Amino acid sequence: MISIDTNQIKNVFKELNSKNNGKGYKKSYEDSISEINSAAFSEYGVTLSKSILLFCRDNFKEISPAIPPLLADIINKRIIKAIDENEKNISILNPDGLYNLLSGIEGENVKVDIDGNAGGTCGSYSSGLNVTINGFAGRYLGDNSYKGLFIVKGDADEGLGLTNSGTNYFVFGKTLSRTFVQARAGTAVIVNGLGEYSGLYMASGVLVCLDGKIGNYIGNAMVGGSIYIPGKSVNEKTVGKGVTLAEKLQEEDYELLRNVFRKYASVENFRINDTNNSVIVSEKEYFLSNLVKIVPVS
Amino acid sequence: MCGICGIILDTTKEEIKEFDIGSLLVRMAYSQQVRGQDSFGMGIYNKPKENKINEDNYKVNVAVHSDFEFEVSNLFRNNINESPITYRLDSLFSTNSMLSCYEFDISNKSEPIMQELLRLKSEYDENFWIMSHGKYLTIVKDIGIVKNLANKWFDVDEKLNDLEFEKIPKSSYLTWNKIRYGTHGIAHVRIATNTEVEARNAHPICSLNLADISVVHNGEITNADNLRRELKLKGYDFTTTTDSEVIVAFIANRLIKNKDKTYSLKDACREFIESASGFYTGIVSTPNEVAFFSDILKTRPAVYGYHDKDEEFPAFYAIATDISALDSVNATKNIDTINSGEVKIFNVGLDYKIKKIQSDL
Repeated sequence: MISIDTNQIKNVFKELNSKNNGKGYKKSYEDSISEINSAAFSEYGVTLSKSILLFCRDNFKEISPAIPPLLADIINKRIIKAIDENEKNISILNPDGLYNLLSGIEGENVKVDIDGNAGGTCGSYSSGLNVTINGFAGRYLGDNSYKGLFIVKGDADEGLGLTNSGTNYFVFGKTLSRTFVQARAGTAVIVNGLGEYSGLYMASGVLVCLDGKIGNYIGNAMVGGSIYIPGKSVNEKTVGKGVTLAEKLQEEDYELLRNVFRKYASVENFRINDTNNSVIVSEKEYFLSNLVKIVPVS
Repeated sequence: MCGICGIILDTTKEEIKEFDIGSLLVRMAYSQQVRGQDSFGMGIYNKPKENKINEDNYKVNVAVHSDFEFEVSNLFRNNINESPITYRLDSLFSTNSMLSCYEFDISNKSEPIMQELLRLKSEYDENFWIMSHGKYLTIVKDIGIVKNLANKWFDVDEKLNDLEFEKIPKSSYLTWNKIRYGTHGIAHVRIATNTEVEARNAHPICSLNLADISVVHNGEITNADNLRRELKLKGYDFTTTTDSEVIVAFIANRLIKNKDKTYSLKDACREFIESASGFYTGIVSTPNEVAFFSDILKTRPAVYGYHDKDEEFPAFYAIATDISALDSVNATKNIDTINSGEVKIFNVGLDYKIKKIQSDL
């Protein structure tokens, strides 16, 4: 198992910075970048991406604001290197809401634990990763990802699972809006609340919310797949255009949901309204009496 | 891709009192630094001091080029009998810009002096501008990143130690430390998109025509030029070239126009969302309310959460662009988002009456 601590990388940056101060003059941006690149290679065996260097050069006049994208790039490169070396367990400490963590990384059954909050577009375009976020997730978690699993212990911001092609998501809290927009496959289980426009243009897959507040226009213009939400939260604005509520959940719905939950039930217990839900969700009655199904019209 | 945030005391559970808004806003802005690196600013609303609560207490915060400092000081000296400069934020601006910032107490003389300041503004153009004015509001803003500016502005004490700011000994801390306490405040980290990186273009932006109102904004208002032209024809003044100033001028216009009717900040924000095209979220603050709104398509993130009272801070609401900013101030209870076209109002309850600066508006 390898552990990547962003604070440790920051300390390397800080040391470089203090060396600058010791010399009594301010180093140029190019010199600082060059030093960071050398430090990334000597400490972690990686070099910064040319695209990130160009982005930072064009957008930042000094080194301090360029550090978050550089940090994210070093972490991602370090993870790619570890996966190439057949590492299966990776831990990221103190992510501090960094954007683009795990973006574009492929790793079949590689387990990644993020100990803190993940920033925007975490895991976008990734494939096969088994990610657990022990905090909150920013916008567009796992967007355009191909497969894998994302577990979020807190809430997730909008756009979770956008245009994914077969990734599974499990959120212990709520998602804020536009969950599973244009999803092409995969499943998303949200324990405690679903934001507005979730399931917009959904093409396939299963989106389930067990409890909590449900936003408006769920499943708007979806063409395939199915969405399950708690029936008690449904009002005249809940169901979007071009979709309808199925009359009653059938035995096959129960089978589908049971299979979805069994995938995650072994992960950890989860709670609904402060009640330990690990027993409740296995009950057939819970699904059949509490959830309703949204499907495309004909 | 700017980052906006705000802190609002929960007056349903707490009596109206001041607390260390400054350190909370710095913490939130710092966690959103990745969203904007050009400039940083904060607007904090303080209660007037007890001995001034019944007076026409009025303060104005101006930025002036060193060449014109003398004339501006004279203006105040000629108009007020007392010593005009209450305190000076002399480390506010970078030395390159050669600007200084003063806060003046113009109690009982606010209307004629504001008229004079607006005249000076049009005369001196970019060498003189008004940063904030009113009974409650103080805005500080500058070019730079959160870490450097927080170091410049105030004593980075134990509350911010974990952010690893450098501690620089400076006597001017004391001046800023006085205004870091308040009932609510808003902050902004900016990345310039279509206007220059200048201190006056940083947010929060106040209205020149209505006291104590300020705005921070993330996104683009595509018909800002049209709205600006309409408002200019109605007599509204602008300091910056940003589209964000249109928001505050528009809302000031609606509040002034409808001040005798049952018309709220929420109505004004709704009217703005109907009139403004583009993709944006914004926070508009007055002494008694804070409005958080999104465009009708909700293409920019906007989240809010709640912090329960603890030993250090009273109960407050936190609003932000990134969800991790809420976590940075431990306001993770009942996290929710602003829906498309929604205006969420947070009440503060300070006494506030709409008072226009110029009689011809």
